[in-house]
Amino acid sequence: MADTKDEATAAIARDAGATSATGDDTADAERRLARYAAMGIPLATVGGAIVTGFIVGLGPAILVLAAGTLLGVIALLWASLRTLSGDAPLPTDLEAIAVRSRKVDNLGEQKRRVLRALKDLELEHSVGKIDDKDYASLGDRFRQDAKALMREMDGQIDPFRDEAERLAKRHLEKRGLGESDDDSAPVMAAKDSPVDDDEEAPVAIVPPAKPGKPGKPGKTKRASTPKEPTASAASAAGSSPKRVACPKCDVSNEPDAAFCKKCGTALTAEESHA
Amino acid sequence: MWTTFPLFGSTVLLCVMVAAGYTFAVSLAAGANGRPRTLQAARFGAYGTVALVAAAVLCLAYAFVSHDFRLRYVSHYSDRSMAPAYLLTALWGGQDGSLLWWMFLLSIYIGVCVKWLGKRYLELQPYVIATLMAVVIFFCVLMAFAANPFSTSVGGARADGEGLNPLLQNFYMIIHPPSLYTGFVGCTVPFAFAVAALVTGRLDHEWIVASRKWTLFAWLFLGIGNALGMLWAYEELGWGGYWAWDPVENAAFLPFLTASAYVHSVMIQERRGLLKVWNVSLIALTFFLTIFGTFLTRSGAIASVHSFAQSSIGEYFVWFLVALAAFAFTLVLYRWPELRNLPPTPRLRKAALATGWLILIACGPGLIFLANVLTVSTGVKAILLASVAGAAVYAGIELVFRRMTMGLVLFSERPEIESIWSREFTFLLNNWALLGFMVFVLVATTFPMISEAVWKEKVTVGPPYYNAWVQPIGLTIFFLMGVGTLFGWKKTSDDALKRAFRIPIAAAIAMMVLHFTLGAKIGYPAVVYSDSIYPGPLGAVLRAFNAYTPVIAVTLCGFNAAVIAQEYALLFAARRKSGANKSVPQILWYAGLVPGFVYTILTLSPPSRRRYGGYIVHLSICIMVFGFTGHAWNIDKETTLSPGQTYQIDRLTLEYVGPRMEVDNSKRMVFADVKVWENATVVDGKITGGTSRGTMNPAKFIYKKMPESPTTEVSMLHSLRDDLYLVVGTINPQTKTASLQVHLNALVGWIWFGVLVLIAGSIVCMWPELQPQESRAWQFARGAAGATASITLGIFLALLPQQAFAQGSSTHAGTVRIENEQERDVFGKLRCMCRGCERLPLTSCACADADDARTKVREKLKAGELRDQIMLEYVQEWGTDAIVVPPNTGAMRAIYAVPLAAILGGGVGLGVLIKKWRGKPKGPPGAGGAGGGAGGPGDRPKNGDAPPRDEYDARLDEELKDLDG
Repeated sequence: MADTKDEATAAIARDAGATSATGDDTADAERRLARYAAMGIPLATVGGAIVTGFIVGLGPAILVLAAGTLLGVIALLWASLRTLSGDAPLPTDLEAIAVRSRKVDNLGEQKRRVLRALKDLELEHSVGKIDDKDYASLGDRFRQDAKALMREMDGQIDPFRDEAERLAKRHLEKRGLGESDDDSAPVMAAKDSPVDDDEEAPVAIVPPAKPGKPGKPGKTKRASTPKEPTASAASAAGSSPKRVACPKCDVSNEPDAAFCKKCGTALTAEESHA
Repeated sequence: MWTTFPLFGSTVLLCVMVAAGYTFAVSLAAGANGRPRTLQAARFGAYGTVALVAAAVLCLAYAFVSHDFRLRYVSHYSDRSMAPAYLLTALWGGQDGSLLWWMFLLSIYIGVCVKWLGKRYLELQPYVIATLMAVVIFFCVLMAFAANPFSTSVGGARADGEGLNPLLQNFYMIIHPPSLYTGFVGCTVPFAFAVAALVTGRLDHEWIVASRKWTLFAWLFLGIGNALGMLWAYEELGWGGYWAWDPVENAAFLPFLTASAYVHSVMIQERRGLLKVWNVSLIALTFFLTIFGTFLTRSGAIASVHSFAQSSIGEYFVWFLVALAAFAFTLVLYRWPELRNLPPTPRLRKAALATGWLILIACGPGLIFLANVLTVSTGVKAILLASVAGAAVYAGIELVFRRMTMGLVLFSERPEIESIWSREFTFLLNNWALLGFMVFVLVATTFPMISEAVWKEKVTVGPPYYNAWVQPIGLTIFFLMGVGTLFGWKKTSDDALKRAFRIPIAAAIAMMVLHFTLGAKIGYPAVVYSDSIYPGPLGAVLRAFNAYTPVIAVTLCGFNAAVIAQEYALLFAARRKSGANKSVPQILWYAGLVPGFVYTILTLSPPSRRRYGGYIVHLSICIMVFGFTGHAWNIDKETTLSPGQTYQIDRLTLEYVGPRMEVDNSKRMVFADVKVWENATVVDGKITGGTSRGTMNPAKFIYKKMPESPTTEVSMLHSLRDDLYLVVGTINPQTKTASLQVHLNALVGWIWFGVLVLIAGSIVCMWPELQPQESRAWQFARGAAGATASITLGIFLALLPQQAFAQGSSTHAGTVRIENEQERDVFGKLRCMCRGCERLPLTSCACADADDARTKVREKLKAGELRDQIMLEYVQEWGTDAIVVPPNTGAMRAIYAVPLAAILGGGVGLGVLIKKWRGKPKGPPGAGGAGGGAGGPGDRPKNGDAPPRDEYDARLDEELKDLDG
């Protein structure tokens, strides 16, 4: 109960907080009130019930609890209605997630199953349930399937990759960072997301596929400049000469970074492109 | 003041309905428009509904505490003399309150589930919430219109309530429906996930992962609930047994079987993408059975002590069940293409819907109508009905489905399995056996209803029927459990199979030989013949099989235990080989092996942890089956002893010391003190040698409020080998002689030990996964805290209403008096015919009517009448349902013929399925079959040579390494 009440009153607080940003004093007061209520209602209810229980008796204590709960119900349903009507702002992280964009990823699902199958094979082999011959033949078949699926997934991403590269390049050129060399072009990830033509639109950056894609010799030159290299891409993400090394902690940062992503040290122009 | 309090309570209930309705609508809107804002509003609405249910419960609690006898429910279940703690538990004592309890538990689940969902599974969330709210709305409607705990008495407020029967101290007299509520209600959450997956079409592994822990939790509590029920029956009921196949027990057992099938079959879907239809159906069926179980226990549809026969809520349940089944059925048909990996074209959807409904209507209402219209003999009718059903299925598939889908490419992308010598196949077998078991118990449980509806003759199915039939089915499942474990995923080579079977078979043979040679010497013979339940060949076959059940069960226990030990040995050997065992701190091994073992299991990768946790659950079942087997060697005796006399039962000698009386405020307690000696010899009435096992004190409690019906207090002496179970019948105040029932129950303690192992195994399966950037110590702390909290809370929730439920049961307090073996034989075949009795045989029912019936039978036996003659007279007096096993004649054969036909049909279906999966040309395997289009067979290496490694191999290796974290 306490949690739900907290959430409700926190929402009211957030809600009030948003209005107070406009400088409205009453909203500021409401925000304070909501914050107090978030703590106050559960505490007062339980505390009141305990005190009543000791002084008056069990019956009135239950009534106090019921009254507190009903207050919580009002707060929660009020929060629900205000959220629904759009008066209350959403938590920022929830806002950031576009619910509709995520579709079922059939290829990803198939790949996951093949990987699971390979993992199972490994385990069964390690405990001696599958002999070496079967392990080799089955494992090989599943590996081929997994690779075929990975190729197909890469093939689906390619058009988006090209588009993302083009966008990123234009963006960088506009910022005066663009080079004719497309080595430093980040790659857009979301294969399901619509590609926004707006040059200033934020793009999600992920590590690109590893170099040396078969059938696409032209792309093998594409060295990665991932913002946050993941484990699988780490080996491929060789440090580009354009990246900035932090003078304090030596961490490699993006070419246009103003501050170090690890320690926050300001990166001067001299250090850039060093 | 508070003149309108009952009205206020009712209003709160109606408000719950409104809030749930609002949340339901907002959730659907959130699902439709996909806006996080609407979803957030739905979440707040769900919390609000949960809080409102809590408010309703608090209102009822206040009514009890303030003795508001205007409320019919309060005046019926409490009085002014009750202690406050008891008043609170009386909240759930009756039907109306127990429904509120159902909803309260559900709302706790909803609150936790919505909180847990957070920002996860945003696509599924709206429909999960909507489904949960729909169930809340149903219970609200039920309470508002049929079983309102806030309704007022017609005659106005009374001065005092009817209150509690003083016999409530015997409160386990009613077996345990509410203990299962935690498990029952828990099944709603996985169902909600399945519905969300079906509605959104997101039928990949997402919903399975999302609902996994919820399913395991519900499964665990169904298991614990059943086990606690057995324990209570054993400890408190005083008839010496633990499972009476009461409809309520069966209702609790059915969803446990389907949930067990699901936790196995879902693994195939996770790995192969197969059985999607089956899995959603199993989850829906499990939920259906939980509601059906509640219906059975609450509506009085089947006579049982647990029933509330005057109730009108049955109708509401029936309509809800029908709507539920129709909804789930339609949804599955609508998603048929996605579930079968086919292109989701509208034409295919329509074809699936039309075919499914046609077959359902033809085989459901159609057959019932036909059965009523036809006036031919039963045999002809059965053949005709079967033909019509077959024709309907054929017409549905061939004429409707094939025509409607003409030109569409079907079954092209179906994956297959590599080999029938694989775990996949044994899991299918396991599902077949578990579902067969479920159908068997379901038909027998509902047979009184069916027979009354179809043949206008109510028959009863008593424990002897179940005990005779269940042994072959149960042992088959038990055998498959071990065999399935020996197979690996995908394919098991002949050599590996031989290796795997060697030790378990050796262990099984060793156990069998040991049992045959030593069993009889220690009092546990390998073959035990019991009475046949039917005359004729069928009865003889069942009797012959069941005579060998002890040795088969013991052999299989040896087999299964060896299988599990071998699995663990292989695991540790593999870990030693790979060096993985070095991650376990050595100190844990030195600290007595168990900590090292536990640490190793808990730190395995999640799929392996669940697998080896599952083996612990298997071990627990093995231990429990060993305990159940002891039933064959039970010794039940009756005797009357004077002070100082001794009685020998097996190796134990009982010495009756004499009666002893104690008195407290509410009751007189008359104890019969009995000293117990082991391996002693009695010479001239004197006990020599042997060891003393202490004194037992079975008793009669006589309450001041109800002196005419004293309660029975059992006394037990537990050991691993057997339990000495003493019940005192009567104590003569003049002569001080006591009539005693002495039961020596073999191996019962193993069942309770098995339950503890089951809980441990389930905890391993549910252990939280290591989060990134989380220390191992913190993970352990989190897991331990979560496990302790949930188990404690669950058991608390399960136990809480128990006291309250006790109060309605007083009429069945008393003692079963059986004077000799001949009486036991006859009593075991007749059932008590009092109204509202749980249909116990006369050997177990302790009510006054049963006592009268026993006296009559006793007189007839003394007059020299034979068993069959007495049974015939009893049937003539009371009807067919007065005997515990339905006669093996005419239409009554349907009780076993229908489930057996279903099991056989399922077996044939399974064979066809396997043939289909196996009968295809060797191409891309399983999951790759669907994705094989990408690479195609052209990518395959020729002549079995390993293909050259390319850059994808490196990526694949990386991803494999990261797969389980």
